[in-house]
Amino acid sequence: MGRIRLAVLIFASLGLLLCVSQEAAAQSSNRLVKSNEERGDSTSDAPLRPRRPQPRPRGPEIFYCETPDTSCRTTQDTFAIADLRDLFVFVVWPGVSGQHVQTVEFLLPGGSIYSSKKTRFSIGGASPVAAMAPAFKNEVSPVPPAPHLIAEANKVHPEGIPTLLVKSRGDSSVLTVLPVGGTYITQRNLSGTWRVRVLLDDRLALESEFTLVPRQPPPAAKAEEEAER
Amino acid sequence: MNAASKSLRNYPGIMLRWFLAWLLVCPATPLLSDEQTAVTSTRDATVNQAAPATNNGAATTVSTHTAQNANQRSLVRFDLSTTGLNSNTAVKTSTLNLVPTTPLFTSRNQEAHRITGTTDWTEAGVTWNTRDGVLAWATPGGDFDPAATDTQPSGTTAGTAISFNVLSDSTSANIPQEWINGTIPNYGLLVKDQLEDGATWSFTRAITVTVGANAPFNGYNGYSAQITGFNTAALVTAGKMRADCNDLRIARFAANTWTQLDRQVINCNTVNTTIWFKLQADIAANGTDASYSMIYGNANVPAPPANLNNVYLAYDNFDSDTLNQPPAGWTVQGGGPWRVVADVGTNRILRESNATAAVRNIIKVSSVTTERDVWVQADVRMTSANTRESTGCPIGRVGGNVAANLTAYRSCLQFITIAGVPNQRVSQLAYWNAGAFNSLQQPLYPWVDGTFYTVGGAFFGRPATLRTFVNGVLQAPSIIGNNNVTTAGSVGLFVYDGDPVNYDFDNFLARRYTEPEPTTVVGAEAPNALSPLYGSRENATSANQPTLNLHYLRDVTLSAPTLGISEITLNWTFPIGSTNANYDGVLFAKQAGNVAPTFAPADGTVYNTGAQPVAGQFIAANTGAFATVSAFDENGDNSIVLPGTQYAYKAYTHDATAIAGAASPAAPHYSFGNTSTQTNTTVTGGGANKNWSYKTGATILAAPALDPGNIVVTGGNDNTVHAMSVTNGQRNYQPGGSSGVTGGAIQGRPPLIAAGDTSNPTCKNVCAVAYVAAGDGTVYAFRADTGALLWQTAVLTTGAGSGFLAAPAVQVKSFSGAGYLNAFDLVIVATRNVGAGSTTNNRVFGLNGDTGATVWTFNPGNMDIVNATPYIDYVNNMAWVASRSIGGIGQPSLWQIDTNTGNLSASFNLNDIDQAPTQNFDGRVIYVTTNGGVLYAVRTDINNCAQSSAALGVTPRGFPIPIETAALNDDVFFSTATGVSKVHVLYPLAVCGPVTFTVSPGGWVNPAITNPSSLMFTSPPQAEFMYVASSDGHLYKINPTTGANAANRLINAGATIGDPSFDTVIQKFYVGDSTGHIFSFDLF
Repeated sequence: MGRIRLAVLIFASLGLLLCVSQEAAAQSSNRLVKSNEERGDSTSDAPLRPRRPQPRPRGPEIFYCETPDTSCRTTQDTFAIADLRDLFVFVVWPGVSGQHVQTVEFLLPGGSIYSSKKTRFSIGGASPVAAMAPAFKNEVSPVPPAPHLIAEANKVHPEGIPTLLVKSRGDSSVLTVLPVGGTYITQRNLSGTWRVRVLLDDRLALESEFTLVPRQPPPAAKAEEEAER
Repeated sequence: MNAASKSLRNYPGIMLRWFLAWLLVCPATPLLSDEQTAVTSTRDATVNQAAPATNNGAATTVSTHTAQNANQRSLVRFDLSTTGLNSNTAVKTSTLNLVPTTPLFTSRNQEAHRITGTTDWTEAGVTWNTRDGVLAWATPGGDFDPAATDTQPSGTTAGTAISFNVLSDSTSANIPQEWINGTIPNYGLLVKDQLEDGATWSFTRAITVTVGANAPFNGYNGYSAQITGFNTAALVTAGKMRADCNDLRIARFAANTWTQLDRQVINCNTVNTTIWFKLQADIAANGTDASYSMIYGNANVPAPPANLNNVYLAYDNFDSDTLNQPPAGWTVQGGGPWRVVADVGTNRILRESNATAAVRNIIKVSSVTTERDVWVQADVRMTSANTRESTGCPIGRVGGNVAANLTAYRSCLQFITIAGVPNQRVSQLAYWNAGAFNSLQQPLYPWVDGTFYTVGGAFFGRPATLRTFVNGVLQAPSIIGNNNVTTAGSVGLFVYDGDPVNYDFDNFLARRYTEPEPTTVVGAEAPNALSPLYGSRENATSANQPTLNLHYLRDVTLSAPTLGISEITLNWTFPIGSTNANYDGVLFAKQAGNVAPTFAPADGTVYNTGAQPVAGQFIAANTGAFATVSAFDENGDNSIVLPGTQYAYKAYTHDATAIAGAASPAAPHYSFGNTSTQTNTTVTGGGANKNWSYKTGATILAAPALDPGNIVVTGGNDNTVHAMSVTNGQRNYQPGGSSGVTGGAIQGRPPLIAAGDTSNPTCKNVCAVAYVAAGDGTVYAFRADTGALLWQTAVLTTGAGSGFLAAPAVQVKSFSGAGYLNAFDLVIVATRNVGAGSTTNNRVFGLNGDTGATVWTFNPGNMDIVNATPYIDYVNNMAWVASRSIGGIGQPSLWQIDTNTGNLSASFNLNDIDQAPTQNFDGRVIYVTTNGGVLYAVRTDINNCAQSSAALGVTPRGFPIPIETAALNDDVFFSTATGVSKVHVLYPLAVCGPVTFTVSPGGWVNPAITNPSSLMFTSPPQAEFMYVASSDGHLYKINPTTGANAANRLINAGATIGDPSFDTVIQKFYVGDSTGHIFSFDLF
């Protein structure tokens, strides 16, 4: 998309303001705006007060795991690059229904786009076959990727990870896998703080970060010594 | 963000400074789209059909009055030369604003037309007949295009401009633009009534309302006033009023606005006509209000406004109510049933009829809740039965919510026993107070069974005065000073049905009431003013003068560009005086050469970078903010910027807001770009500089594939296969659709099989073929010249999210010996599954390079993920596949697979391997490094023979490169996490005997390279050097004997540079980087 439209920015900003939840805030590195209510509860004794759950508007949330099991849902956002085989990125979409396309952009610590993954999903029954990001009424673009090349989250696989559309604490979430082990991330030590941008139907929904801790090289002298033996 | 919020809470001063900064960044600019300018008329006049030779150019108003043979038209002209706009200004539309000074009391449609002809008119000379007092119009009244540019209602408000869109008519699609360009003469505009001739309201009379000292509860706003004794018969006879009085209107002029009122005319066309209307404003005690007018004298008018619910507090004749249910807008408070029933003819009435003789039946008007001083009236019809009470009444001040707690005054007809005398026919005044009843007066009235009587009750004041009227006659004596009911309430009807027959009501009416009632005085008849009148340029109030408001966009001013080899930075300034409220960005089109693009963007259409709306003309950039004043056009998949090449650019400003009335109201709107063109020539590369670069959409670190001297092909994390010229980086195609596009990242070097070598029947001797294994678990074959998809497989990986990481290996039929039995190139791919089971469920596939069909599948059931490209041993027709092994030696990590059958030939448990194996020069040894830092020499000529070095203490990266130094002697080079290692290997001939590994032989010193890439050697006839890229943005040249850093090139500062490739035909390096660029550099 060559242009960033003001309306999109406004929508995205409003979306960020509205898309707030306690659980999202618990994701420590997520760049989401907290509600006034939450800010009011940020006093030290707040966790001690028994509170009845209050309904509140909830926005998308993101969490990172080393396994594809949503039960890992924690606030972990730092991983040792040498030990990480795959990074499983879950984006939770509470209250979202219908057919959508989620885009997850992984940005290197330097800000360049490392990769971008589009996943089509459908919540609420309808087949997502025709779901595509909404286009402007009149738009002239280079030819976009063919729809069938976008990942299909609802597809059920007989083996391995059965589907990219999973439930996490009752909410629908879409799984995106970032291969790490053996990739250029480890081969070229692309460590540091990565940024993740999540778009829903080409509109920015949330941003987040995770950190890959670099591998420590073995001491050179010792290496030579061991090689001599 | 949370931290920022806390800071704001803690430091209000910071918040203030932020606010001030915000004011600076976001000045309070008016919300305008595009740019606008307004000009005031330089000429205007009224031409009058009734005085066709009279000039009226000096008047302070212009008119569009309409009357039979007396129509008037307004002419107005604007001098656009004073705006500074010219033919290079893109005018989107214009708006003529006329300000009524004397509006019509009822709105009429007005048309704006463009004045046509060949001669201009003059303000001092123009008349109905002539343009300038001499030259006649072709058609009296003015020559104008028959298609109105716009039609707008005149409105009824003075001082509020009427805006006519002036854009197009039958001959011009953009009138203001053509006026400015001079392609049509600017003779201005003519405004006229849409339906001329005779729609005049000829007469008016002022109405003065005077009130007494006793204001009613809730005041006079909403009070029903009446004009009595008005002689409409005389007016009808004189031809001044229609016989049905439909042109008798009541209107009020207040706050510069006419408001026509609903009215009821009783006894039309008589000498004693009564006219009711509702007052629209309160009047102080003993005060007057002269803002009302009676207007008449229009033979051709539609039905007047006559909703009696807008004349009185409430009115219902029940004729439009649904039969057999309570009337709409009423609430049954007690008893009943109350039903609307048919009466005589089409007349409907409200009936209370209760065979079980419920005695207290109440229904009230829902919309009236807090009226105290009221007149209530209804037509009442009852029957009587011996000794049984019958009572029917309109009631006021109705309170309570059931029959038992009713509060109200009532005026009734009644059949009742009084003082022991039965069957008395009386009228009655009575009350309830919270259900407690008392009768106040019961004078005899000889009403007749089955006959309607109009019963009225007046209840006003506190203490109250109570009166009953029957058929307009007061039933004495009335009650004065009563305090039984002091509260305000509703109005309604009551029945006491001792005689359980029918109690019928019709024509219910309630209005506010006090005594004395307001009086109305109707003034003398006067001719109605010519209207509407609009301010002319001579009007003393400048805000009333005609204006023309133009919406337009101007071009940016391009400043000096920054010229690169494969990129051009365009710089500009927005038009002087414009702000972010006018423009939100700039669209650039370009084409090669020095001729500016002819492309003209269409308003309402968004053009994205890379689009080619006209053949050979591209969208080079499209910015989205006023603050952005430069754009970067660089060579790549979305644009072509070649070294030493001339490009002509054209810039179009655009907005982001709709323009009502424009040909395309929807944004964006574009300027013409005629004055913002620029021809730029890129710099020629080479030497220490790059030859060219090519931008993709995401990181590319794998070595580019080559058809040497011809094509560079890369696959990237942007799910795209890019193919470009080796000489200048020009794309072979623009990826899109299914051309060059996959469903997942491409992290390995795609094997590129030249046209002369491939077995693919489509490309044989026609095009090179690129094979891609992508992160979506699918293998693709693309033509390298066009990007066209030759074939793709189904998903070959296992489970959602799984894919390929390693590039395919291809055994090319034409390179293979007789032992290779397949009739086609064989594409070998190995999976990298994810999730549970992925440590054992990976597979290797042999695919038909011509079709993508699976030739064989190797599925051992204990294969961990494969991250490195398999190696093809052409001598033995074996594929060597390295994998992980769950971090140990419990399962194989090096697999030798027969390429003809897919059968396992051997496997080796060497521990995790992420690096590709490579074969040495004599073909006897496969070298592979484990992740743990062990170098293995695996014999191809001896079964199950793998010899290892000691732990090298390094973390290998990339594939090892063996250089034969003598027979059975190799120097093996490989990158490590921190540099480059060199190990000399001496292996025995034809014996699986001990292998000697010598680390850093012959004075080799490991060069320190930050995060080095895989290695690449230049081969004879070039001097043999090793090249390795780094994460510090450089490509290093390493002496393979000493490890010394011989030279380097800065490829891209700050980026991680990928694995290099070398084109032996034209001696160029190609590397990708973490920012998604591909670079070409000269051999150094």
